[in-house]
Amino acid sequence: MTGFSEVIVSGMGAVSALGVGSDALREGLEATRCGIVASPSGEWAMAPASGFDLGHWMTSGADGLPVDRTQLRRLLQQGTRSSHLSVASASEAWTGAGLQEVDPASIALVVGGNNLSPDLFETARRRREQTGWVSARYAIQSQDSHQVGILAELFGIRGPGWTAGAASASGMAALFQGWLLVRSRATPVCMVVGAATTPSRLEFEGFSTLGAMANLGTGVDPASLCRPFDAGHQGFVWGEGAACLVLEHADHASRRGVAPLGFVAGASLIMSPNNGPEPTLEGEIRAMSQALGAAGITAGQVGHINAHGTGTPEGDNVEAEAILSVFGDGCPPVNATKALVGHTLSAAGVLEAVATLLQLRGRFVHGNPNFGKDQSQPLNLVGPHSRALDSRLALSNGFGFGGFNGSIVLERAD
Amino acid sequence: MVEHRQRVFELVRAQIISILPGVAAEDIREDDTAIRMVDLGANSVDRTDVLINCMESLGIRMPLHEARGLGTIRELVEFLARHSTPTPGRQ
Repeated sequence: MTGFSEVIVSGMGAVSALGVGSDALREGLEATRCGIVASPSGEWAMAPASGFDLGHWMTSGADGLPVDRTQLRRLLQQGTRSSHLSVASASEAWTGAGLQEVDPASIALVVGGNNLSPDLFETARRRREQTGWVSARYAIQSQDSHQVGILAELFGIRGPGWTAGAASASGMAALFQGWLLVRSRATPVCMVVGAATTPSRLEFEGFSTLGAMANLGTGVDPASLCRPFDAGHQGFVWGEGAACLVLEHADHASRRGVAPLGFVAGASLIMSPNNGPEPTLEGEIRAMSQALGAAGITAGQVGHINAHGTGTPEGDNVEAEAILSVFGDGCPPVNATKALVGHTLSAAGVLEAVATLLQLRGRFVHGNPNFGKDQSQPLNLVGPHSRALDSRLALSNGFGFGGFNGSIVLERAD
Repeated sequence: MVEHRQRVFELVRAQIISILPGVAAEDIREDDTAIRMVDLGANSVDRTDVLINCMESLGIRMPLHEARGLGTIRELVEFLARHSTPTPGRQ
């Protein structure tokens, strides 16, 4: 136990293939339920957040927000599918943290993500080709930063705000920045949002050509396709999801009588000088070691590792080697949430930090449903089903193309 | 021609309602000559998108700047009706 973490988690929210809300995520994780299905074209597998319907959410999930229904509808009409998911997860976190009572100038907002809505580009391009028109809204929506604008307007936020881009480690970069902001007392509260990446056909084909995305063969069960650390792994499966963590300085939270959900004990985000898709053993080792160092703990104190674990052979193999190098023979149980919710790309760092905290708080680790016996690395992987685990500290990884390596150490509060 | 103008008015009204969720059909009356989109809460992005969506539906192709400065909804309807042909099914 560190017991000295200055940065607490005072709110969280999530939308994913496992449902709307962090309770739905916790239930799905605990049941080791897989949200991966076949894509409409049948070429790929995917984990859509199909439980999220904007109209339904606006009438049932938007209570307690500082805007009325008309203002909310107006605001969301200017947004994309990705921003709708961000709004839903951030609203849950904002309400849970009781931020309506906090000075809006004391709240910072960092949205993790870059190139969030390529599907929008494709739709706009098609409209222009067919009719010659480009909507006036396009110039706003095509910038990822419009999500910062929508969220700031929705919650009345007046503190600092920006987007953080680091490919699949974008959410981790946003968490790292939020943690730095709060720890340094630059701002007492920071909403960190991991925004959904909604790819177009072009990105699916690009990831597939690169060999990073798994193709759905004939007769293959989509739920079996994402196989992190299993010998049969052949690529990641895209998932749609967004998540939010409200980070707050412990002094600020205690002054307003808010009980922590958990602590961010330490975090890291470092570069490997490698502008490519290849993972870097040295970078991953250093990211985990720096996060442990920032938390002031040893590897032996960590009770659970939530791996980046995308299901690509090279990514899994390097991460397994990095984990074994840092944690050695006493490696705690390892699982990979992407087997259940897919790879949510920009959102992954935040969504998986929420998943990790939910497991710490719920005293369990979710299963690795597609992990067979002939694993490619001798990791201490959780079996196909969830099991009880009473650990206080957990580490979650997030890596991205271009040399981004990040880790976060979370501690439960009770 | 009156029929075409009526059709254009209904198109404009439908577009405004879809872009401004707080506005109801009864807020936009054809006999109210002075009402402007800005009075209904439309900002410049909303106004441009209403215009573009209507021009697209009516098959009007012209530089957007030629359609700037239309103040009232009536002026917008008249402009669109003048520059489009009454082809059934165009919408």
